[in-house]
Amino acid sequence: MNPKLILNIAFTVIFSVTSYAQSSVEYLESITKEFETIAADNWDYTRAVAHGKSARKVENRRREVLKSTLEAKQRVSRMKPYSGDASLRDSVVSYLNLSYNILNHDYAKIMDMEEVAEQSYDLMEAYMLAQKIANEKMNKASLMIDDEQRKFAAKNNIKLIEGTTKTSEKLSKAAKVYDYYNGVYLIFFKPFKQDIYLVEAQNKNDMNAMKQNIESLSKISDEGLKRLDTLKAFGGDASLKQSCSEVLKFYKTASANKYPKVLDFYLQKEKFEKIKAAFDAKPQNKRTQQDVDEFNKAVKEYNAASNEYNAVNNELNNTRAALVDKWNKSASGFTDKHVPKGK
Amino acid sequence: MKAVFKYIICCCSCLLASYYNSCAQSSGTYCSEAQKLISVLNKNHYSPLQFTSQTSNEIIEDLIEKLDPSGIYFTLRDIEKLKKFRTDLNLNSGSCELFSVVFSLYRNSLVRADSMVERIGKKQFAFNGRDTLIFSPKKNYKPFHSGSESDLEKRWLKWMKYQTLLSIFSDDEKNTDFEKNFSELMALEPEARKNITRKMKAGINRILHNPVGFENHVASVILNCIANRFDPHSVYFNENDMKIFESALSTSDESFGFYLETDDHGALKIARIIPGGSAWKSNELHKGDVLISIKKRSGEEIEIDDLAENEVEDILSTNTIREIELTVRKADEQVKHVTLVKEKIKSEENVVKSYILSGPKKIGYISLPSFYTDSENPNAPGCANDVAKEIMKLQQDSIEGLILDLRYNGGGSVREALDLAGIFIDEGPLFLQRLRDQKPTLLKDMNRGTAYSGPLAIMCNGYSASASELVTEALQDYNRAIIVGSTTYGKATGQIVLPLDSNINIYGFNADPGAFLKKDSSFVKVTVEKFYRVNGGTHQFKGVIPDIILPDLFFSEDFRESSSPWALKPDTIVKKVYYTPLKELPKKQLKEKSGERVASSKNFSRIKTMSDSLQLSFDKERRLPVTVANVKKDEQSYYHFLKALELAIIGESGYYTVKNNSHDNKVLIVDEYSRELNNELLEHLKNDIYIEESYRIITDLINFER
Repeated sequence: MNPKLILNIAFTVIFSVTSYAQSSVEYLESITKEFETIAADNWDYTRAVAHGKSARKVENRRREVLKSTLEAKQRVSRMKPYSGDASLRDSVVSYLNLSYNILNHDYAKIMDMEEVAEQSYDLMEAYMLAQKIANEKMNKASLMIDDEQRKFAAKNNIKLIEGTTKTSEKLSKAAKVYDYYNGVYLIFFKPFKQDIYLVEAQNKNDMNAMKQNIESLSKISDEGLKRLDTLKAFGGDASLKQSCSEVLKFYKTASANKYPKVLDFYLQKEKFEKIKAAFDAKPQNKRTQQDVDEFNKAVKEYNAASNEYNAVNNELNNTRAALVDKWNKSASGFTDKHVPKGK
Repeated sequence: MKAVFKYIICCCSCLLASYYNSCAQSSGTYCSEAQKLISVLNKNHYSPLQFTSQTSNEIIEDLIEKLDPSGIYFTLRDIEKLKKFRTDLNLNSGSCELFSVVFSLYRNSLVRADSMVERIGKKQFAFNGRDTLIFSPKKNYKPFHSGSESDLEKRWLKWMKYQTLLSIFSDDEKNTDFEKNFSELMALEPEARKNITRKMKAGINRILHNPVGFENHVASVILNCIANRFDPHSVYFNENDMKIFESALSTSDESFGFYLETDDHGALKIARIIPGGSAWKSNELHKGDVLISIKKRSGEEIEIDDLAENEVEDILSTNTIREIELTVRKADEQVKHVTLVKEKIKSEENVVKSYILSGPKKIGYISLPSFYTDSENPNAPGCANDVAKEIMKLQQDSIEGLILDLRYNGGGSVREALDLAGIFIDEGPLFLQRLRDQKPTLLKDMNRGTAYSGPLAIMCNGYSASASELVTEALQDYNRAIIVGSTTYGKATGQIVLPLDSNINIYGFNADPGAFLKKDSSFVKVTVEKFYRVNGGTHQFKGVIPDIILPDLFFSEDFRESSSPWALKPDTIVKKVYYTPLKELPKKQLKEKSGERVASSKNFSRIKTMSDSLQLSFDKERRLPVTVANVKKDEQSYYHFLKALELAIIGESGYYTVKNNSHDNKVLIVDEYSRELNNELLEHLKNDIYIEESYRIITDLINFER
């Protein structure tokens, strides 16, 4: 299983300035500069994730972004209000704070996790919902900084020119790749997780849970396939979409034709055990020919059901393993191919 | 040497007594037990109790009623001796006397009653109408106590005369037509009087010679009065009760599949039905049924009048008895004869059965009598899994709708309730749980998806309690099922069993009640939580009100949680709960159609009339002069009432046929015993008017949804 899920890219509009009033420009520039350092570290981190670097390297890069974000926050916090106006400074501090907490997966500091948990079916759904809320908050904070920058510029007679740097361009491209990837990943992930629940239920002989998970797996796979249909290839590359579709089609077939056979076997097994118990309970000399015939028939049916059960289980396990492996490879290949390389 | 001998005797008798239970303890030990009980309850109970003089008085009142529910043991003078405890139970000081005073008072009263019965039973009874029995209304019932011993003896005389006449009249096998004349009846008097005397004395002696020891037994009653004052579901268990409780959980022995208990009146009752056992499979026995007689297969009657529950169970457990016929009186006063065959009960056996009702629609029917789990492996799938399996079998037979019958289902595992409701609901919170002073927690359906998504009707009645109410209301809140029957019991609380170890506090750590059960001590079942609906309301005290109410004989509040003075009161919680109900069911239309049918049904009309008259008799004081003619008339009308009731609840419309699912049919071919039981069950399902009306309602629902 590829551990990549959603990457939060701290990404704001970078402004350059032409100035008339020196001190206000310096003030604004010293704030914008903080974003440049963070963007560089962020890019190192993004590259590491996208191009299959080791987990240790990825983690080191993440820590670097965290460190630079924290330091930037501390520096900005120490800045004095400009002409008594602290709104720009404060909006940047709160943005950096939010960015730090999200990158650190410290969601409890930015939202009511209890409510998130209560709205969600399981931990993974809660995590996804938390990510969604975090992204929304990031976007909002980003817009707020943008707004404050513009207000500051207007108030201090500064002309803002929207511009980009190489790093911000790469980050922007990476963000698009991950937007697409995350979208497909979620389509893959939901039935993938549902199938894990199903297998767990099977291991516990919990037919109730199995039956419900089968129904749910079928529904979620259908929904996923419909969403995939509306999704275009990414820059002409349909590989991710294709391998996701293959996994979902497998889940659909499994829930329609294969898993019901597993359930049916459990019912057959229970029936056979009851017939055997009743047969064994009857003394040999009291058994009629019909009893013996019925019992033999039940043995035959049970053996046939056992063979089919084994065959279906093997088929499910082998196909699932092959398709998930294929998906993992195409997911790694996809980000490696589309996220820009180099510093 | 003498002293040593005495010591040895004492030890030996202790050892003998400990065959059943520990020896009687000193009053001080019981007081310390009471203090521990109050301490554990106050630490852990949902609603702790401040002990005031009013509380003490209430506990003493309850104790008097529990020890002497009919007012035939204590005189007012006896009760006066408890006066000093009415302001303070005085359990804390070294001079704690409550237990010793009650032991002595109660023992003396019982011995005195035994002598009175003996004396009274020796003289022939004259039924001249000078004695009048007064039956108090059930509502706010308090036993009446005689002012003096001579008044008490007169009371016994009246009571024994009445019982003697009853035993002459009520044996329906001998006297169905009530045609016997006075002299014929009087010829039966000596034998009947002798039997009643023996029965009364046996009842008294059962208390005096209780297998756990008289003092231990009475101490248990006192301690239970204290526990019950917190709420009716908080119960004290002594070591012996706990052993019974634990053995009741084990389902591996060969037996008829039921346990007995003796009620406050000395009657033997069904205490528990073991899932998968013979009694369970019969579908005719329920908790609370009063045992009238037991016959062996040979027809020979097993004498049970003088026996305690464990003695009856011991006799039944002997290897020579393989088949019995039980005669029981149901809660609705019907008398039933049930044949049971002894068998080994396997906990893994599927104990839920499903049937197909075939008429205009093909409807599945499943009855679930309790929310059981596998006692040997509590984490293994329980009854919800068994119900799901039955649904799968029914689906293979292409059912168009499903009826889940939760009538008489007294509850059980909350986890199973969640799993059962989850069968029908995709995902989401089902109900809320709140521990004392804590924020409510959502309890969710842990399996996404449904095992059955077709039309669903839930049947319930006043005996559907606890977990069955949780399922019923969750399905109602989600608009998932149409609820049919009468208002449910009204228990929305949960209990755990804790040892009387005063250091235990469930709020201090993650308590695992199972771990405590191994400890060697007394225990208390404590109410620790309340449950709420997803809308913040609760069925506690009030019950769940069905969407379609059918006339029922026992709709009265007298049989529900609200009839208990110490039941926890309903409240609401405010919490935002995210859940998505399904679209509204056409409840109004279904109700109208059902209403028309019920109004024109002879059966339901009879039940309605009988229910009204029964309620009236509960609410009103009734006086009966004890003469042959009066008691005969009274018994005759009672007999006719029961006959009419029998007729009223049996439908014969033949609107649908009942058969097994195809899966079970194959098993029945080889399982002879199951086949016999099955035939009786099919007949019963065909004639149950409540199932029939539910069938018609779900048929309407299917037609509306088209």
